[in-house]
Amino acid sequence: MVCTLDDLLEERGMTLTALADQIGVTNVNLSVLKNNRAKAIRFSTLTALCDALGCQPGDLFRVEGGGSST
Amino acid sequence: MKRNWWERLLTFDRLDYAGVYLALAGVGGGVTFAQLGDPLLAWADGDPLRTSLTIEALSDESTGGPWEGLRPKPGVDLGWDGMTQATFADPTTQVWLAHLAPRVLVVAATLIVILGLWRVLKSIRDGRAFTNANLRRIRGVAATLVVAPLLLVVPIVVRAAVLTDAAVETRGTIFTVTLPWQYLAVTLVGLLLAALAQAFEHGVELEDDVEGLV
Repeated sequence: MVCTLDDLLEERGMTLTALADQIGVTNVNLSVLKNNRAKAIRFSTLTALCDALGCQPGDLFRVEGGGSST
Repeated sequence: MKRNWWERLLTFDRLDYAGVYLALAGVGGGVTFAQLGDPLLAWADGDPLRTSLTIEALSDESTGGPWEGLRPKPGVDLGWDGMTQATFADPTTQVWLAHLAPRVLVVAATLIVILGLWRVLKSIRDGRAFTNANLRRIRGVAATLVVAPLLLVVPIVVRAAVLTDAAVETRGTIFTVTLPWQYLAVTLVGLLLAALAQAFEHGVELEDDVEGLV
């Protein structure tokens, strides 16, 4: 599972810090998600990300290489 | 949120940790000194060994006295203050070692328990309570508390046998060994700690689940 947060941020001209401030998640946690080191994501975080970025959950992630790993 | 003073009791602030560390150090040092200090100093100084023995003469019932009929070996005085008191004027190395063996085991078990608890406390203070290392430590402490009282029976019996043999003519005499009821309490505490370790294992699994959760 690959997180496309980096691309979405670039398209919207946002920084990770600004997004973190907006959705109330720490910069460190958002960085973990962006760098594909997260093992799981809360529904509340996912909803806040989608609201802030104006996207759907499917836009944030894509499965690569058979989809067996996160 | 401001807490009342009674709500802050035993919440393990710095003072609580300091108190527990102090208590652990005190128990460790106290047990070590109480168990080994006097006998080792006496041995080094060549002092006599005065100790209690549970000796019963088979002829007690006929003679009526607690140790009537017992014949002490040369260099040994026998007295009575509720138990047989034997004083070895010049105890042999074998007698000293037999006398010290249960005490060494008690000290070793105490230090293992204290070291384990000390490390667990330190990790809790550092905010890393639910780790596999802590799980091993708590299980180690629990196993020590369960097994040590059982193992202690061996050196206690050996001590009683060696000292009785060295103190009196053994023909017609027997020694008895009574295990203190506190042993059961120690084993029970060990079993409770083992249950706590099980709870910690669940905590470790949950911690692993939460790690990486965004």
